[in-house]
Amino acid sequence: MLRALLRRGGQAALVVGIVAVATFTLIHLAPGDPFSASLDDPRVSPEVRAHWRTMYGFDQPLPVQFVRWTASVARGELGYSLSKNRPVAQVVRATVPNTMLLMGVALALSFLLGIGIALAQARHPGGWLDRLLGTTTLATWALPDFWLALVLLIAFSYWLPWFPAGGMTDDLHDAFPFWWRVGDRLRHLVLPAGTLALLTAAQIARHQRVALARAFADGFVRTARAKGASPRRVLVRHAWRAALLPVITQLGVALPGLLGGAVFIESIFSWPGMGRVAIDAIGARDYPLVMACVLIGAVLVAVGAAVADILQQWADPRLRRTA
Amino acid sequence: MTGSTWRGYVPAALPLTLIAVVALAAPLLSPFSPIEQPGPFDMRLLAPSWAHPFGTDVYSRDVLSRVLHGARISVAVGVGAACIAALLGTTVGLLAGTGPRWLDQGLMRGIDALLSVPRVLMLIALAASFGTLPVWALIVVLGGTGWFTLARLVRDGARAAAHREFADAARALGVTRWRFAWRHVLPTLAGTVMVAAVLAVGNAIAIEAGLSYLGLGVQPPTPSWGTLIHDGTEVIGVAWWTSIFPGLAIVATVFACQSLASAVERRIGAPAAVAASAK
Repeated sequence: MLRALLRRGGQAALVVGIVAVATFTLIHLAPGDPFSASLDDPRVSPEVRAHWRTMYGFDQPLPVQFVRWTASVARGELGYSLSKNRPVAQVVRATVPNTMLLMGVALALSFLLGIGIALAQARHPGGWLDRLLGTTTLATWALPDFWLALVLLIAFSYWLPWFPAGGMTDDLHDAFPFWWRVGDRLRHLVLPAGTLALLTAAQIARHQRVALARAFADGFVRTARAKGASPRRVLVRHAWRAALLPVITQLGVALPGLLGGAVFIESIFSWPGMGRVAIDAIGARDYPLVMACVLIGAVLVAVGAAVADILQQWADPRLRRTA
Repeated sequence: MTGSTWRGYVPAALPLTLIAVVALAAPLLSPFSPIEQPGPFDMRLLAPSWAHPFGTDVYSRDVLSRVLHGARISVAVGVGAACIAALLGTTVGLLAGTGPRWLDQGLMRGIDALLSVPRVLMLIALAASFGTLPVWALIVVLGGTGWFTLARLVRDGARAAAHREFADAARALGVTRWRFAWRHVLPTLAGTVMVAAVLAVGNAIAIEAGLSYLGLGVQPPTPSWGTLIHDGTEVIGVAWWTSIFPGLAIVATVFACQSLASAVERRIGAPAAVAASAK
């Protein structure tokens, strides 16, 4: 088990490394740099820009810059954001927890909802509920994330003003008593987290449904039935337990999609998270901030995939021997 | 393929065919010009009516005509990107699946890395770096970032096929590695590739829309469904029709692709493809 863990960790580190090198090369090869925006500013002369470039080391060859960046990251130093005029670490500290909150809630909701839908479908395979929910999840999956967010925004914030249109807290949030503050947070979470959760739940429900169908075709389900187990017990204790494995993998697969979706969701609902920061940073050619965003995203995804693998091995003893 | 199996695809392929025909015939079907701005100011943001079933936008243009013309760009982008993605994914997957161990490991770790960055962020970075992309470049970029999951599926399929009897037979006959990959392994994976390609069409359309929504995709005044939604968001509070109808067009197209893909999947059995196609 420990060897498998180490191997998995090594693989994850390798992937993060490749992502870092590729992103670093790509953003530096693209035309423009953090100071090119000041071209339009008559007060900034070419000499000043050249001085800035030397000051931040952007005149060095790319490999040198990369080694410097890697060394500083290894010291726990993410650099200085040139568009936000703050250390990158500060920007990250201010936004990453918000994105994690949004994604965590969305992920938990989507797994609950997705698995629930699939179990409801599997009770009577081929029945009207199965087909109805199957079509619904397929249609939901077809919804572009940003468009669903817009629709929910006009429907539940404009036409039916039930939920706030954006932001994370009310203006008076700090003056509220504790439970009000919790409620305020939740009210602001409903639309953005709900949008993400609906889309991801559709994906998970479809996976779970397929996995359940495969489990039902397996011999052990017939054995359980033959032994006289109730349909409910066969579904939950026998079929579902086996069918949960492929869904655990989804934890790793769904993360990049969720992160990408968060980019849109955060800008539509003005959620102060990492996705919005990433878009701004790319637009401003803020190299240190872009690198930090990509690095955090890649680490999150790699950790998610590794956790999914380990959970799978924990849940299915058969996988342990081969790993 | 016999006639009866071919006919089985007709109901599933019908919606998508219809959308393609609408895209091709857009100039004939549109009641108004999608780009010209008619009249002075009294035609702005008209609610849906018989004359303008989808209403009009901020510049008094007929939204229906713009959605019909947008279909041409959006469908072209989707189909073009899907072709590129299918080609790249199949080639890389076959190389990894039938090649030597080191090549397999190298390619697969590379794909892991590519898959761990959200595709949307990758595209935003590309589009923002190179300014605004013309439509052909958008197709290349979307195709170039859309093949990772397919490559992995093809690779796994090829590895599995290498253990089957026909593979032993081919090896015993002394077939070259390349011929083995294309003539013996690839046909067993045709279903997977087809399903993934059909899904990629819908995916590319949705992602193009997302990029255009951020102002990084197709540039105005050329109508694509994404740019229409983008234009509509500024007035969404007073004129919902400007962004709802183009969005419904995307949903219909993506749904049509997915239905076709699951129909193909059910008939020829390419189990993992639909399941593994994350957005």
